[in-house]
Amino acid sequence: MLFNSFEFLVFFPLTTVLYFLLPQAWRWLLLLVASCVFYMFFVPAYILILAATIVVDYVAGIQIEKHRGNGKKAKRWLIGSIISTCIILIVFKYFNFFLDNVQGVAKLFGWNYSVSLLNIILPIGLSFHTFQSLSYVIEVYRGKQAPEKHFGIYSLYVMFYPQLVAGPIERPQNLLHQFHEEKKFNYHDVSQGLQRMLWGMFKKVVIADNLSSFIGAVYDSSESVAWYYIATAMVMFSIQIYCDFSGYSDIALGAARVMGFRLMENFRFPYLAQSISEFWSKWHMSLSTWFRDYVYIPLGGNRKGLTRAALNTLAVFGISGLWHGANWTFVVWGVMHGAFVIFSNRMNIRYEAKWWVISATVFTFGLVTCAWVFFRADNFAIASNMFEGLFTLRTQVGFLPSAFVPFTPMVIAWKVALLVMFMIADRRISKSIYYEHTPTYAQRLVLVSALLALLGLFGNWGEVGFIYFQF
Amino acid sequence: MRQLLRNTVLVVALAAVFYTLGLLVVANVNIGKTRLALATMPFVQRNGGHEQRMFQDLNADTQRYDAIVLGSSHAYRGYDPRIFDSCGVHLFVAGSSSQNPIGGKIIYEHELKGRTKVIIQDIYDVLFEIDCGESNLRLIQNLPTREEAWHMTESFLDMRTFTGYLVRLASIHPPQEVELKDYVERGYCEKKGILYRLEPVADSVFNRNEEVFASFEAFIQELAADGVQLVLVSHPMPQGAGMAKYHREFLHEFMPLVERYHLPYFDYTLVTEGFGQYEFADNAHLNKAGVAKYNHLLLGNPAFKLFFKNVESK
Repeated sequence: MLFNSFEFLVFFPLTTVLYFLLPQAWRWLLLLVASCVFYMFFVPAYILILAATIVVDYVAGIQIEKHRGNGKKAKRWLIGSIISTCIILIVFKYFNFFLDNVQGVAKLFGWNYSVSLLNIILPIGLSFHTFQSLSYVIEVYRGKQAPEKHFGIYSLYVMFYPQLVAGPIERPQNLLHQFHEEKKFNYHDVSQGLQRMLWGMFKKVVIADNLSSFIGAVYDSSESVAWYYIATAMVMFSIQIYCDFSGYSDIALGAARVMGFRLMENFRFPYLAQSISEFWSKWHMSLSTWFRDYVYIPLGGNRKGLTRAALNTLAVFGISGLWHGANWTFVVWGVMHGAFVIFSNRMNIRYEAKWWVISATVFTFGLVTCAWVFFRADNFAIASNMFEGLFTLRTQVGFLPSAFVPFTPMVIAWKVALLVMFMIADRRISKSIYYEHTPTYAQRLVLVSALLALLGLFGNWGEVGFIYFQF
Repeated sequence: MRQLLRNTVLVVALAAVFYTLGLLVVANVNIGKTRLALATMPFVQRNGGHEQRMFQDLNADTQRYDAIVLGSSHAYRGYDPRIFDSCGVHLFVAGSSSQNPIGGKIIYEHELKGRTKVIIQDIYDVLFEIDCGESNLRLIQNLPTREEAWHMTESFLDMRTFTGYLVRLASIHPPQEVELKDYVERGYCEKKGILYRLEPVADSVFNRNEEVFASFEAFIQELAADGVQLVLVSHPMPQGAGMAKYHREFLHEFMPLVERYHLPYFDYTLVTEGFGQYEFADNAHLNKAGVAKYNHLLLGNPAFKLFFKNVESK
């Protein structure tokens, strides 16, 4: 079920009201059933994949605890659980990619190796709930989290609907105990949660979805469009993906907050970062800390010298790229960021002067925007067309394709205006909504009402899916 | 709880005021000959143009037609009433942009009932796959009356159509936002130019849209109940990469419906003989020369002519 769908408009209030009406003993069951319904709106049969992951990791958690005195047995359970969870991920997400590459290599050696690819659709949010499940088993193994005995509550930890399909990737220490606590109706939580959901919906439906069609048209014609179209589409994509994903996170955090749950923050104004390292401490924080805690530090982190730290960084960002999608373009995107991080860590220059802050922020935004080209492009040919068009200041080749017919100068001007207005207002509105920075009740009332009205007026209600759902 | 309800009511009331003011501004402030709404509100379609003129022509009198064509731009750019006249068939073209069976059904019910005994439905594969938003929104702006526009809105009620309807209500004197440079007569528009670049099909996998198929089946049954003959036709298409595969996939889904109701279907989609670069205006439409060739091809088909035998004997 999409957050920006009519179904969710019915589903959410119904689930919330029932949640507060039911006694605590039954609430986990309601949330679990609701989460199953939410997930089964996509491909119902894939709930079985989730169920398999849940059963394996639930049993592994209990067995690890049981064999805590016996290091080898506990480790075997941990490794078994990690392997079985990863196998699911590999089969559904990477198997066809692997076969494709084998075929490519075979061709290089003149061997006509033909295999039939698996005809499967990637289960929605597979990478997210797989990682969340893994973090539970690892934390139990490390002794930082007691295993959850209640199978229903453990299932809910993996399946909690607000963050099931695109995170934040929760840690058991933050979320599991909350399911055992009795949540009473709290006006402040409900009000804050609803406002956050509204802001998230605004970012997704008014900003991200209004920019997507133009970006799509430019990428589809990357070989012929003029450089200024390319530059505009690149900047627009930076904003689109931010609004799409942070909008999703806002709706997730808001929906959970309405019921009294606190989820991890996932974004903290990443485009105001003054370096790529800082960018990654503000962008998709639940994933970057996951990789830090479970991959980078176990690999040795920065404890084994500069060269090893650099290699670890590249490895983590490469894997992170692959986590996003089974395509070499994502790997290149990840490795680019890895290289930027190594470089920015080495430089590590910071001044307080305003001109420096502005230049560093713009420069970082520029680097991130260039890297997004690999993330957005379906293949390297498109990415290379985009860069070639931009850096050679290409003029339009031939006529504009028919996909550009709707983009009159007035429509493009409006999209650019939306983008600029959002960039100016984002920090102020976000702070006002997240941290209640708006001083008076009246100002807050006007802000929320205006957002609601703008959502109705300018929202793109075509039920466009969230970009991160595909991961 | 009381505080939550009070604040919710306040927010909704204030948002309604902002929304109304905003709507009045974007629906009535024009830049050149375009309402602000057109640039700022996704899915709001142009006022005026072919659809509006077509309805004006249709409602100018109450005459009956030997056949009326329904369908998308393929319909209103693909069937020249003057050529049909020359073969003794009095034709009107009630196609509209991206019109799929949902839009066609509404137009039939509100505008065409009793005006013909033969409906020629132009079949374009894509329209059985896509959401009918563009078609319905275009019609909501341009149907002759607000009541009909409301019926169209009702038939596919979502935020987009509802907003489109409100924009129509809020626009006091909407400008003519489309130039009528290629309108000929009786709903027919003539597209000029030749095909300069053959493009591949955007996505050669056909994904059946259940809602459109269901609506089309309901339309078939309605026409049968009214004693109106339904004739299905598809005009030749440029054969970009993936077209043949796409069309075969479409037929796999579509033909069971055609066979169930024993409908005649004259499918020229994959015909290439005589249809090249100079017969198409772009990757989806015939040009003047193409229309002439295609219409004569169709009217020369004895099986097609059978549906107009009474006309010829007149």
